[in-house]
Amino acid sequence: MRLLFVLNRMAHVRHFDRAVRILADRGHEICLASQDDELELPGLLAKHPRITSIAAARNRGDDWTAAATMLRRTRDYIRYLHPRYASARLLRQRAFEKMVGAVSDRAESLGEEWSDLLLRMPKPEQKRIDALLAKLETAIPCDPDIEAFVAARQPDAIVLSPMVGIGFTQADFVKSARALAIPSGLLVFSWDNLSNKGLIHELPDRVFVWNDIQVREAVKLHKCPADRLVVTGAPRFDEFFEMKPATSREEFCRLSGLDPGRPIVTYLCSSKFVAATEQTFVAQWISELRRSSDRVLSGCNLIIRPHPAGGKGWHGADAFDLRWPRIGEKATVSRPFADARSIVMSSPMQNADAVLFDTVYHSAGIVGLNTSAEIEAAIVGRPVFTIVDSNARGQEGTLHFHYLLRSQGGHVERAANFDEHRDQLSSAVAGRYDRAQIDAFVERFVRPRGLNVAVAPVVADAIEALGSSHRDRLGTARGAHVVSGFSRT
Amino acid sequence: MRLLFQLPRTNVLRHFDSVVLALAEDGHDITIATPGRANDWPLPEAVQSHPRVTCRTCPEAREDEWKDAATDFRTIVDCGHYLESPFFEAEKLRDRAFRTLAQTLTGERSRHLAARCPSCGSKIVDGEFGGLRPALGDEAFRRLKNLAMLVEQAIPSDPGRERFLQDERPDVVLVSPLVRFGSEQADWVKSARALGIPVGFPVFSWDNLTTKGIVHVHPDRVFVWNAVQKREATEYYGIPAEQVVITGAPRFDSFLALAPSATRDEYCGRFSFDPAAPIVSYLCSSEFVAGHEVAFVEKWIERIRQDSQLGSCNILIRPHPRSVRQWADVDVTRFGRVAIAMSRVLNADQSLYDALHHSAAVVGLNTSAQIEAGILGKPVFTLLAQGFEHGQQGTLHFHYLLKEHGGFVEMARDLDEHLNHLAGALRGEVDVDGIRRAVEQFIRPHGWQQPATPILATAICSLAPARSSAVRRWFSAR
Repeated sequence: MRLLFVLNRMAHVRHFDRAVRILADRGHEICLASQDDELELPGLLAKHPRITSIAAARNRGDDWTAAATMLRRTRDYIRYLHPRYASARLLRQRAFEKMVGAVSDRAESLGEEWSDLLLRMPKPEQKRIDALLAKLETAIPCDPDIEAFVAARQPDAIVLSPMVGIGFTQADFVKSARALAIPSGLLVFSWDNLSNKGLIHELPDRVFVWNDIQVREAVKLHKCPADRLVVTGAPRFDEFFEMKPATSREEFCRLSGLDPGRPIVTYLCSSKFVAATEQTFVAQWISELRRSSDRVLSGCNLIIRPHPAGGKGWHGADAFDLRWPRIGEKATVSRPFADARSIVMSSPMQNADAVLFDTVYHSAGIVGLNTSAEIEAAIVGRPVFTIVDSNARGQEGTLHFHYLLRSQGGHVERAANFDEHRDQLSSAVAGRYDRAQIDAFVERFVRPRGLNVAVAPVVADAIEALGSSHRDRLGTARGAHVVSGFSRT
Repeated sequence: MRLLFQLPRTNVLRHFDSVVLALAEDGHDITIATPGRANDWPLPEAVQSHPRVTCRTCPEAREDEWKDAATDFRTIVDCGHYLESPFFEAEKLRDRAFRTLAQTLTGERSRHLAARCPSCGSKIVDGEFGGLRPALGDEAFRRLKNLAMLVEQAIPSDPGRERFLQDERPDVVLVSPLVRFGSEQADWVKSARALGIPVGFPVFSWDNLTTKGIVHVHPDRVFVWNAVQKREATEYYGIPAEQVVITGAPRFDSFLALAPSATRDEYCGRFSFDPAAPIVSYLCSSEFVAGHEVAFVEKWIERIRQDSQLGSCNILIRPHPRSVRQWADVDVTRFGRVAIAMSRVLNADQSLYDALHHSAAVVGLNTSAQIEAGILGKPVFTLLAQGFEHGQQGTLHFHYLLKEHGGFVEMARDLDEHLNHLAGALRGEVDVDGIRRAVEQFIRPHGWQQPATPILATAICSLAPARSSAVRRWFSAR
């Protein structure tokens, strides 16, 4: 079977590289087509003889290039006028900027506040405009270049990810695949993808989602028919599930310069988009914790783990690099805060990060505003806490933040203020937390087929099934041709 | 030849009934296809009873899934048209375009598009959304126009319309007024073209190419009144000049054939006018242009009465035929020698003819009847009136009739200047030849003695010199 993966960036393969490898191991020819001109295959994929890479067009090449972008970005913006996104100002602004940028070369002349201009548009009108834009999407023809590209690969199935970024052009690949009667599937890249980016402008034949929440999102937010959805779980965490700590507690504390006699609380930073001024907040968080009446908490070790996409600005001049024992992964440690037991420790890995694993593993409690690493913390079984930071516009103003909250069936304890947050952390450092609840969340959110069922093989099966449907059709068609040829004879 | 006139309502035929009759008399079979609305006007008796004229009910809306989307999309595009110069400056038109958009998108639940300015909190209503235009820049409009063009090209022909046309088998399809917000008639053009049937678009009126949106799908021919409309069609809608035919305005042929129905004395007697005093007629404008005009007209009368040169004249008020209601209870007897002549007739109106014929001067803010006055060689005046700016200077067609633009209407900047104009006219200072020349250029550019009806009829026939191969294909298939 020939399988074509179209990725916005080659780096996106990290969330399902195992599934790709499994498919290749099963004898399928895999072509990873990257839209960012990055042809170097990451990690083990590079060594596999049946996995190749190729550059795919970033955009359409026909007259519709700008027009399609305008239509799609406008539709992406309209979605954020819905009351469910009333407080998602940041998302609305981002979509608005992208839309205006597609239409005008003076995007900067309209301030971000203009994204709220149509906010009070009643729902029926929003619906009508969305229906119009959805209809206009059907008017966009296949791009001849993209169609030729797909046809030349002769795939049995085309798999896309992440597809939903505002301004991404992978809908055109789905269009072409459909025109060529090649089945297509979307691998949902992450937990926030269906709620805080753009729409799936051209629905593929299959959408591989993590869990029941994404099923609901796909149906409700993207109008995806339920029978196109396959719940696989989240393949990106398989390696993390298999990890064991590479360091003992003493070793970990020695490497990072922490007191092994005190508990560790780790703060997992969020992306810049979610929390643009997080350093200020973290400084306040440290001092608030130090004011705790609980001496264990006030005296605990604090690790700040910057978001992998923005670690540099966090370190002080005393930063030093170290190699993680037995793994060899690089970590950088510094003490930029005026606090003897607080460190910043970063690692560049975005997936299956051994440093993150050990950090979480040796922590008594985890804190974060709104970041994927909170899920990894749950996989390790650690209690996770969040506290509302009014400056973090990507926290409560996103839909996916709420999915992790305990009040919504998740595992994250939310605190409205530092008093509540300190109380919650005190219990955690004392070992009082509900592990069963955390595991239940992980099963529901990450591995809905069972905590012990790895997801990558499930994804591989699902992609194989998608490709098989094409093979079966082709076989039938070829068979029919042969029969008709015989009958003619 | 089989000719099909597709009209949204039967009353549109009033501007072409003479053409229909001329074509029928010439032996062509005519079908008048309208959606058959309950409140449609009956067709003129001569048309209805002609053996070669058939009336058919045709589909009103598309039958496919583009039904709402095509209308919504075109209404948005029409709206965008009024963000471009020179339409951007036409606030009144821009306002209406946005109002129509609001009505379309809300299914008539809302009459206005409104929002709060996110910067200052003030209310933004209808055309004020155009304030965003400078922030977007010209490049945005180039991109949006390109988008609109691509989408329009991608909207398929409506199967329902195609079936109707296949049943009717016309040699030529004619559509009018075509330019209406969200025009569903664009789909008739599209379907006719898809079937290889030539389509002609006789422009309905003098303001049509500037006030009601754009030509979304280009017909094979556009039949315009005059050079001004030819420029509009080519410049604003990109219709190739060779596809635009100047025919003149057939709607005035029947007016030109009228004669006064009463002598001056008889006429003055009807209204208790002083036959020795001149008559000044005031032609009211449509509500879109002038809103509620009564108070303004009363003030205008008062000023005339105070004027030493004009005070004794007779004044005839002719309410706009579509706005007679606002005059129903108005009593003007207190002014003396002032009368209201109501008529709901929109074309070849004998009462209008009589009024103009017996008038020494005619006044109006911005209305088609000014053209009829010009036809009769009467001096026509307008004045820039406070509160009516948007309906006057705020439209493009207002300027076409002005003397300073080659027209025949004398414009005054204020009431004093206007009264001077009127006084001059009453003294006989009127350039009748000049008025005639201007009117000729506007409604009969092929010559005063050349009625537009046969010119348009001939132009329509020339649209289908031979059946296209596509038409032949169905005929052989049938």
